Amino acid sequence: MLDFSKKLYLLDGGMGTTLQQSGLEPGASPDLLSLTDPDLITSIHRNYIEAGSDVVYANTFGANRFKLEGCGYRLEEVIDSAVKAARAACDGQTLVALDVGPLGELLEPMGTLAFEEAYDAFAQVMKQGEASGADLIVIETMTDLYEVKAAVLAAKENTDLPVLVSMTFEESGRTFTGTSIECMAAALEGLGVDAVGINCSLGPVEILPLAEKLCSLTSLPVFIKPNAGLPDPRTGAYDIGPEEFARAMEQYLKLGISMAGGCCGTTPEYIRKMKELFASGKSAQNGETEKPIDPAELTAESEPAKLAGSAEQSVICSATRAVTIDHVTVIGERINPTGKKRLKQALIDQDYDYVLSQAIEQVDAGAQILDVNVGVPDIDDVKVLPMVVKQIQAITDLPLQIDSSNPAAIEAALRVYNGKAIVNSVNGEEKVLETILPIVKKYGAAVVGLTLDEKGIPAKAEERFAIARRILDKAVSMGIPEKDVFIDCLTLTASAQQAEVTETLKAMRMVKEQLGLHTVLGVSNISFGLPCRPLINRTFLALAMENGLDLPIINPNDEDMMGTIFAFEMLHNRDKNAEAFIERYGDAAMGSMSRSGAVSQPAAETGKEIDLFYALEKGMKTETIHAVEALLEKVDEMTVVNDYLIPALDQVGQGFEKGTIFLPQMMQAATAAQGGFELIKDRLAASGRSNVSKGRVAIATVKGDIHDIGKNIVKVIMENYGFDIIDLGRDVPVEKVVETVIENEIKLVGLSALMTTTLKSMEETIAAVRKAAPDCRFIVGGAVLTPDYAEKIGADYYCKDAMKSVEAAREVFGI
Amino acid sequence: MKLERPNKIDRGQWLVRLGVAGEADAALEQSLLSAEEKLLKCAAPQGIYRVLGLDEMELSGKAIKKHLAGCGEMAVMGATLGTAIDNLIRQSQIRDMAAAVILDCGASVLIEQVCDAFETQIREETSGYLTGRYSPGYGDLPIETQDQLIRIIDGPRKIGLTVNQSHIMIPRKSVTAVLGISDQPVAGYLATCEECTLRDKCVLRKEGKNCAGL
Repeated sequence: MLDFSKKLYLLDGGMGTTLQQSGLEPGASPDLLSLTDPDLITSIHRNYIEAGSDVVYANTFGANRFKLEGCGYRLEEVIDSAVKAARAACDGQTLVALDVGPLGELLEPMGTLAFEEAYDAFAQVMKQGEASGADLIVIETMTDLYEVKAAVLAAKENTDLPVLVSMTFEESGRTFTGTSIECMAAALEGLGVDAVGINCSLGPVEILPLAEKLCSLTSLPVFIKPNAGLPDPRTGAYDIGPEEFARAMEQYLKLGISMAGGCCGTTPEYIRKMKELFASGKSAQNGETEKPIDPAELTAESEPAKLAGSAEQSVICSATRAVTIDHVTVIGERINPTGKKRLKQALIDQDYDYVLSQAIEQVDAGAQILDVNVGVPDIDDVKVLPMVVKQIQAITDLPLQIDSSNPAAIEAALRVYNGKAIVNSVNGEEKVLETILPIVKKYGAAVVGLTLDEKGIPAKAEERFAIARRILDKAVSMGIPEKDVFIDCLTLTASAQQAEVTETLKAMRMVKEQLGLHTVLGVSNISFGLPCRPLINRTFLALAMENGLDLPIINPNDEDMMGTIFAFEMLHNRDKNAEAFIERYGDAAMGSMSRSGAVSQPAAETGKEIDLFYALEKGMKTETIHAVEALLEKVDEMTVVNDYLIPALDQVGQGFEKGTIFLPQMMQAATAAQGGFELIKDRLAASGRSNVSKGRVAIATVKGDIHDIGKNIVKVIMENYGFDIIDLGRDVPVEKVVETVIENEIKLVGLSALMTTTLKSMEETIAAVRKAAPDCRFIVGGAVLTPDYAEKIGADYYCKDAMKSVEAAREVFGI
Repeated sequence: MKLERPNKIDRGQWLVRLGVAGEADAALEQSLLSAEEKLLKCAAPQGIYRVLGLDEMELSGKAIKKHLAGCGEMAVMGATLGTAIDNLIRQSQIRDMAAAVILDCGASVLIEQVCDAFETQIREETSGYLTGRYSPGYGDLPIETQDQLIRIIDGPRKIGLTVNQSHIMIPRKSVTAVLGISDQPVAGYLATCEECTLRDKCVLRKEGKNCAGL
């Protein structure tokens, strides 16, 4: 239907702004006009078609269940009438696109709309669009890559129509939510859309450099629909006329774009001028605009950047950060419970803050991609892996590597991942390839292929290479581009298989040189069972990089390893002028390996004993940890908690009550104490002893409310006092609180609400829990609450601040 | 429309929001400086306003009618610091809750500063006399009005400002407001406690004070 190789398609121009000119009230919904005044809509489409549009967008931009809520019409009938009104204007040639705009609400984690809910809303639109006879789907004016993903999946899973996507960018080259052109290109090419584009926000002059970039980054057809220039901030009128617009659009032909039209402020006249101008220089046959540029005929001067080959580079991305694998790229290995007792315990206890802290630590250390593995026996990874992925992508923009062998868990995680991920891993086993590669293809991920198969890990490099080739061939046959296949030639331990260490290196070099693929390797296994492991690890890492390792999977907190990579990049002249190296190590003392601006000296070196009370009150985290370490040499963990940490916190709390210590200082003290508690929890987990819990408390910001900073303050303070907190998060449904209370036999619930409108939810939550668990007690807090009102809605304690919550909890648990 | 990013955050306001009496000590000052640098780096202030006749949009509540008394038109404005600030605060809640509290309060001060500057710009660009800003949730102007205002200014498309089903604005550090426009000098009108939806729950009122500082 759409044949981009033959033809440059003209799209239509503005619909909403045209309707406003015909008297639509600002702020009113244009979508209902398809029902109330279909002739008007048809006449606008007809004007565009007469001006030369090959494709018209039906009047469905805002037709979704959220924007049309309470409008008095069914969504299905609104869409149906819009598609039919467009069709009525068409001759046989013109195509009708179902126009799908943003839902109007931001998705999690920025907003509150769940990805799955967005998908459902889009699916409803897509199904009806196809049923009403649309020829294609255009998802447009998008600012959030996550919302785009929900829409694309909804379109592809529920219809057979071609899917085109355009997003809207600021001059900075990013959308309002921070998505860059690189991220859009990488993620959407992966998801298998039929064309990508840019529309709205800016005029043709401002979009041109962005379009150039997009064309250089994608092999997909590109389409552009700019506004009629920039709007006057006062009147909203756009500043470019049809003639000027068309001339500006002519510049795009050199880029080899496939479709052009206009967005806000453009009218049929703009399309007509474009058509005239595009046709004038070129031969026009049968009134169709020939695609004017054949890349083969281009002179060197006008050669589009597309031919430069950057679309051939491997790019992994989150919604806002793209990582091009053109240098040694560190994959952080810390979120993998294998051999890590504390992480394992955290996953079992659903203590996701600990998991997130591991993510943040690696971000700070310089990881560029994070591996995510939740493989603990008895944990349902199909449920937990996507949840952890969602949580991690809410607090870091690093791209993720989904690490699992369970196809269902991989699919669930890839589905909710916002960007283009890596899947770790497949291997040479036919069955594994057959089940996992289709998932990788569907969600547009890259994939790690391990050079082993049902017979195990071959000893010889040649045999591992043969498996790599088999994996590559299979992937390519399924439509996965070569650039997205990464090979792991597998590290064996030098202590057990010394002769085969060089086979790994040799296989990697073969894969790199003969297949041209990127390589991945978990490095630190090499030294298992040998003394002085760091020395072996960093030496092997250097050897591996020299033999073609692109993506080492390491602990980025290990400065020995990171330093080796920085030195390697510098010595290979990829870190130009040693900039990155000097930035990281410029201040390092001679012979030492500490990063510039790294943490303060340990206590031992300062030569004096640090008083825990002093360190904690001053909010000195490192010093507090050292003080706790020193105490742990003399007394046991529980004594440190009960005789030192809590009394020190009490002292701070009393200062807060008296007004000599303020909230920021109290929080700094709490954060310092947290460091001490972490150390104690680590030690308890390592020795398999139970935790320090003084009682279990569930806390939540109530349904409808997303103000959670107050609740999180309470959480930190209460945890410091040894209470075990189940944090249900924000916007928590009543049923979820009830469920948690029953399941975990909770005796105390903390609820927070910051709006008058959500106090109702607080009341309902208390009532529902009381009914199900009459013994449960409640502490409540939030700016709009008063002691009287708290009593009125059935709470047991009104807590004006975090210290009051601790007091209440001590009373409830009889401490 | 892109708005200018202030080059510093008002210390006085910031300390008030943090509940700190008097000056910041050296340690807190260090934290404020570091938070200020991050906030100013992440803030991408955007604003949009539209002038419309009073009859073009129905606003509920008595107080807003008094606020707009004597005005023929109103300016509806929206301003936001953008999503990067929300991301920063979200991340810092995992990293360091103390820093998160400081960032959160700092961002609230910053959006007010952005609004003050934007309001000055609106006054310069508008002929006639303007009242002060009046926002949903204040007095008896229901929070649901948020949806109405954001639709009128085409918030999502123009400045990336959306509202969720609980009428909370996202990005979080955002403001919408209505300013009356008159050809005579107008003072606007601040809601009284009797009109206020918070009257039964207001802590200030219990202490015999009110939010207008009267």
